[in-house]
Amino acid sequence: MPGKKKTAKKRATKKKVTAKKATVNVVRSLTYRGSKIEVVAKAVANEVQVDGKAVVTSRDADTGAYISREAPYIHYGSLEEVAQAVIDAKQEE
Amino acid sequence: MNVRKNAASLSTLEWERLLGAIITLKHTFAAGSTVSVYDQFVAIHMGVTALTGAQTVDGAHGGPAFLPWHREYLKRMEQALQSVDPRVSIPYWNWGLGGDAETVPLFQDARMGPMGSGGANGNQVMSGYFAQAPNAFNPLGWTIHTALRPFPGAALQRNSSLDTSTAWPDPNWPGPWSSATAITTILAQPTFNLFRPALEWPPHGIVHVRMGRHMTAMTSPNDPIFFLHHAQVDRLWARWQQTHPGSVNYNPLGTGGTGHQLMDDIWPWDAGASQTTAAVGTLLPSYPSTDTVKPVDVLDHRALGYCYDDEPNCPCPDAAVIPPQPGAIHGEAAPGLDIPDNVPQGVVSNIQIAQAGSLADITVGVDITHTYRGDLRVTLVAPSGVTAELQSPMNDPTPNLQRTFGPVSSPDLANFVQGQISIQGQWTLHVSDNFSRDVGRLNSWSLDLSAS
Repeated sequence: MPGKKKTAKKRATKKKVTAKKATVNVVRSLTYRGSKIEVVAKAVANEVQVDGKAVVTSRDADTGAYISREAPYIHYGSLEEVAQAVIDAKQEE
Repeated sequence: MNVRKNAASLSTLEWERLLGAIITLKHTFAAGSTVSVYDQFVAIHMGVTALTGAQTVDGAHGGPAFLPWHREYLKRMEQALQSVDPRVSIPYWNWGLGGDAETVPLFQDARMGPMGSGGANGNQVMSGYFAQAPNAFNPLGWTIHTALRPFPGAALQRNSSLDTSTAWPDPNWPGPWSSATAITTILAQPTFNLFRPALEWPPHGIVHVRMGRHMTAMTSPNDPIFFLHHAQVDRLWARWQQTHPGSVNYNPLGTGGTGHQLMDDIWPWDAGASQTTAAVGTLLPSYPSTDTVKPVDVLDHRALGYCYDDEPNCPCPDAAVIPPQPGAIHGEAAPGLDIPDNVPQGVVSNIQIAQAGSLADITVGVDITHTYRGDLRVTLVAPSGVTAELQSPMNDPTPNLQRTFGPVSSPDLANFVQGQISIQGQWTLHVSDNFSRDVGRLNSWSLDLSAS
């Protein structure tokens, strides 16, 4: 059945392309206390996600430090530090 | 002029008034609202961090408006407290001195309450005015509003240890809370755009973090220590402004976007130009469109009607914080009586009031040394013979009873006021020890009455 073989090959190729698209925007990733932290490139600025969920962040207007209402009152040097603080806070609960 | 004093210098009477006003706001509801006046303030602080419309960034943190926004916010809270008791000002917690002498005295039952010690995680505040369970200080208890809880549980939560000096490895902040040297450095910053971030972090932020739990969330005003902390932040800004009179003192670089500029309206006093999330929006008070505030409106704190007790030309703190009230009457006695052990008859002490009038307000101060205050029953008998039980025997091993009682902390005293009882004649304090072994002494007591 040569025809069927061809179809199977095509499907496999399509699957591969989809998987590649999903990871293309991830700039950095790490695992912290069992959670996956990913810094994702976005049009305006990089975004950090914890287990696929975006963490709300912004930059201090004068220093450029990262801040977040999800882990407030601390100025962070990187998006990963923000994500780690969010994970710490959740695990404290 | 309204004087904000160092919290470490407040008298017991001033604490009673301040804490009584806070408790009253926590249980005062605007018409048709299920959110108390106090909790509306918590919601405002939460709401300003998530704005859409004219403003798209946090309107109160991480930018120049951090200082003017919180100045306006505290002013409005102070006005709300003064609607309960016009003699109240928000005191400042002077953590800038870096010593526990300024800090530890605040965390007592009769003041801002202790750090966390109970509950499943050991972080619940278990005694004083802000404990969840009703107690002698606060018969109504302190409960976090269900929609304003950053984590499960109705009780106020704080770190379980006051000494967090080893928990924060920041070389710039080696002390338990702060450093006088670091504050001096911050106050020396030459421009607002350097001063504001230097104050916001670390000293402002580190106090939130070290208090822990509720103070670490954007609903941090759930913990009333928030207001004493931010009075200190505001005081340092006022001091910086006074020492930099020749400089442009607000955001000369124009950083921060909409809502952070000198002439921008700041949310929620912006005539509806920005909105917060729908969930928080339902908790907020409504402000008329004419009630708008810009940073330029709050640059001069004295023009807002207050000053700090250690700044030049601030009126005498005692005169300003406790203005003479029409009909105010004071009486005191220092009998120095030993309280017999396990004798219900106890001891009595009298104060004679010569003036006539109907009771409008009352504060009773007691100073009793005792090795186990839970043994004590303390009762006040008015000239007409009606009685108010100020303290009942209970399982409380804490030594000594040195505090004031007022209509907020004592329902019986509230009944005295409501009944407008006559103040003229003999007032009697009855103190008894009702269990064996521990003993004590009635050192002194006082009466502060207002009559109409």
